[in-house]
Amino acid sequence: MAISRPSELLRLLLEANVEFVVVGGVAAIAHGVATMTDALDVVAPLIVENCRRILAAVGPYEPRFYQTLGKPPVTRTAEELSEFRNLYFSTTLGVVDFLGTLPPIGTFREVAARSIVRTLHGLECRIISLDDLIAVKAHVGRPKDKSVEFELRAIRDLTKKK
Amino acid sequence: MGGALATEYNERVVSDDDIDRRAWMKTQPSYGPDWDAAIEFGIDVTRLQANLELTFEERLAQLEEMLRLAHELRPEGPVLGDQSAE
Repeated sequence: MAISRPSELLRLLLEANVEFVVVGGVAAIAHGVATMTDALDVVAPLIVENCRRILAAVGPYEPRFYQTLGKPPVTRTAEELSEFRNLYFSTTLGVVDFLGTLPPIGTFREVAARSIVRTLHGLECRIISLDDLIAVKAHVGRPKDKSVEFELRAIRDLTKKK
Repeated sequence: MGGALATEYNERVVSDDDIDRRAWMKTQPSYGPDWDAAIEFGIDVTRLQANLELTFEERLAQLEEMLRLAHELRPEGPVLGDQSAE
């Protein structure tokens, strides 16, 4: 298995003008948590044009449906991918999950409306807001999410006081 | 394993507080109730403070360096689904 390179995956998505907001573990890293992650989660509108851009970005990196039995290669068209609620891809640069919506926050537009912007590779990269990410972690509620939720809440206290 | 230096070091007494740093972190300035709760939960808040000194790109670079290290240290095991050894 290849080493995950989320930064490189983000560069590819940004350069292909994919509409997305970073959520999950990499967003938590962006906000300052110390917990490692090896997967990139983004919320993205899974409409045909955005799926076309996603394919343009990750197509050369051997994308596969890693949660499907046999992990088949992604050979579907953008039109076909737009019928999915989420896309779970593994690539030679690591795993990237494209989520159509993000409970309990909602759609891409709702997540994007409160997102923050950070510069990466000289490009603007949208990151889910700290408050929304805390709400997501509390909603999911697995033990590993609980730990990250504690970190995020501590960071919120720290940044409020500074 | 280890030479004279390691032997000398092992003779020092290591207390539980050297590993569980919560008592020490509670003596440091508090930033609020969630900060205190994180310490009680076992979060090393000094790492959060250190991370906030970094830019987003530096935080990602730190993550990728850790992933690279973890990959290098991982024992070579059988690949899931590989039946060539059977």
